Amino acid sequence: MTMTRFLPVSAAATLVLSGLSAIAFAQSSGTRISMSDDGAIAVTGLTQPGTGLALPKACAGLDTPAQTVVCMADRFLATLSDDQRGKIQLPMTAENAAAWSNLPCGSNCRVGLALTDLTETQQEAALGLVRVASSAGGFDELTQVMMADDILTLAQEAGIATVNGPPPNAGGQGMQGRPGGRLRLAYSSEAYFIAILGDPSTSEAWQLQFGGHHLATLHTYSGGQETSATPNFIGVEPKVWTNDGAFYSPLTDDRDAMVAMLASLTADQQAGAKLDTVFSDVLLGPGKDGRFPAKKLGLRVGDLSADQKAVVLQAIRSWVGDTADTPAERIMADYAAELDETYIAFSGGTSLDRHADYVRIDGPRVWIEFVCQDGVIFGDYIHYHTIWRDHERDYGAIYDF
Amino acid sequence: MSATTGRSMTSDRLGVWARCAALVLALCSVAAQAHPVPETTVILCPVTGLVAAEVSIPISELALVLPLGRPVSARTIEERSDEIRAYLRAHTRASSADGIVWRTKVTGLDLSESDGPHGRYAVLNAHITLSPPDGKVTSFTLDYDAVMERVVTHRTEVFFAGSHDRRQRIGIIAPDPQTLQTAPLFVPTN
Repeated sequence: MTMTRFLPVSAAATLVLSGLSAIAFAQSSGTRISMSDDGAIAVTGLTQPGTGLALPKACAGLDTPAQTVVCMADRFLATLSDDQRGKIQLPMTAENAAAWSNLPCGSNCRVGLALTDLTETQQEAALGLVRVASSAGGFDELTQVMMADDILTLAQEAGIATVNGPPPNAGGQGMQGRPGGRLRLAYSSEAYFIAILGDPSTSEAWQLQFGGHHLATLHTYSGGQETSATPNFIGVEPKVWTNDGAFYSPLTDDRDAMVAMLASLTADQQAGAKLDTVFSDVLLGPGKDGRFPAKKLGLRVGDLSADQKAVVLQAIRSWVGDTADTPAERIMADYAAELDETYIAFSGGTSLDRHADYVRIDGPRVWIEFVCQDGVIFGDYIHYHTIWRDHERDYGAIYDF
Repeated sequence: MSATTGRSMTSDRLGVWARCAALVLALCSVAAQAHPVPETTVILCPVTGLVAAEVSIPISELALVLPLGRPVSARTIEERSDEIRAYLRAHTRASSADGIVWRTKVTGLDLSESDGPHGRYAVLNAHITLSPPDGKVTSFTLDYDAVMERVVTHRTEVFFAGSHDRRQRIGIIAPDPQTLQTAPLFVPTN
């Protein structure tokens, strides 16, 4: 089969451009992990999921991105058995659409099938579909998040998951008041689920779901274009690591964009953006559909300078830019048009490096939250949770919430 | 009020606390499976003339409203006991259907850890008694918003442990994302 290569996704990802069966998952063999005294995590032998993916010629060169996604969806569905298809292709209902989570709760909180339940060929087709629904950078980011889950398991198997201080009866010795795992959890880059709601079509509405621990991507298509890329949850633990000498930090650019936005404010503006309330997680995570706060809080972007507005827009782009390029530009244009009536707010510190440091962008449509949270497996370090929602267009505005 | 002697009542209450403590261990594990972000658990156990509440609050979340410094030790809890007790009293209220407010008393504090499937973290256990003025324990409304009055992503899972160790999940107290307010929880005792 003749294949057309995707563009390289990032310098960090080591693309394998030959060998079409190069989809590889961690926890196979030969992987090693170590953590230095300063917390740096070094891994060898892991493969970033999706490495080496190539676009089938049959789906290349189509007129619109949505046509490419439909082509890849049809190709994926054609690889499935009837039983698998019955579990992956589901009716478009609010219940199925909202069946996502950022938690490691497997099929208890998701629909569809996990990659582990698919053959290697099917996994390749599934990730190929997710790839064309994403931008190059977005796909690189989400597959690094999947890779991070393998690291969580490797860390536990290697006994380097953080165990917090002495027991509480140790008098003045004390203990850290934060999570730190020592029990084995079902973290794996293969514990990510794919589902298709409705029939992939260039005219009728349908939806693609892909997600697992720290990840929920939902793309809605209708009338031959992507009409919604939200809700979109992305988080990661650990924040950074190296694998075979390459550096991975999938959400650092998102965090840096938010830090830059807060740093661009004057002291008075920061005071106006500071919230009294505290957030140790995102406010509008799974199960909170349509529950946007009644009142926008913080600083009105319309009162900022042109340079400051540009920094806010760049922060928004860090999330919107993860979806395929054409719909991302359309969504960005919409959000830019409403920028003056968008509000930014934060809680905790502006460096976004401590538990419960939190920042939010809340516009007429855009809603983005970023929060730092104590680690669960690496308890001495924070990790990130983020969500992008759209006040009007979540799930393509198909359902009432 | 029943004609229970002071000695047997004390014994009864000690037994209830022990039963509550055992339930905390079991129920915290259940709660953690559903919600890996540390959350508060409240176990309500009826005893003669009052309801014993075993409240388990993740230290990492409590520290966001009551800065305790790090690391938090048993000594920290002891030294800050008055402040912690006053805070919990101010944010724990039970009342009967007729509007009568029950007496809230924090009878003990200790530090332990949750070690469920989603991580290990330090927990403050607060032993609280909720006492109706007439000594008649009826169904009541629990108005509890400790931590949640500021940490609007925190939530509290409430259980009721009736006779013969039968326990029932009463519900979740959590700030409404739209209003950031918590709603009181009705607790049936029958």
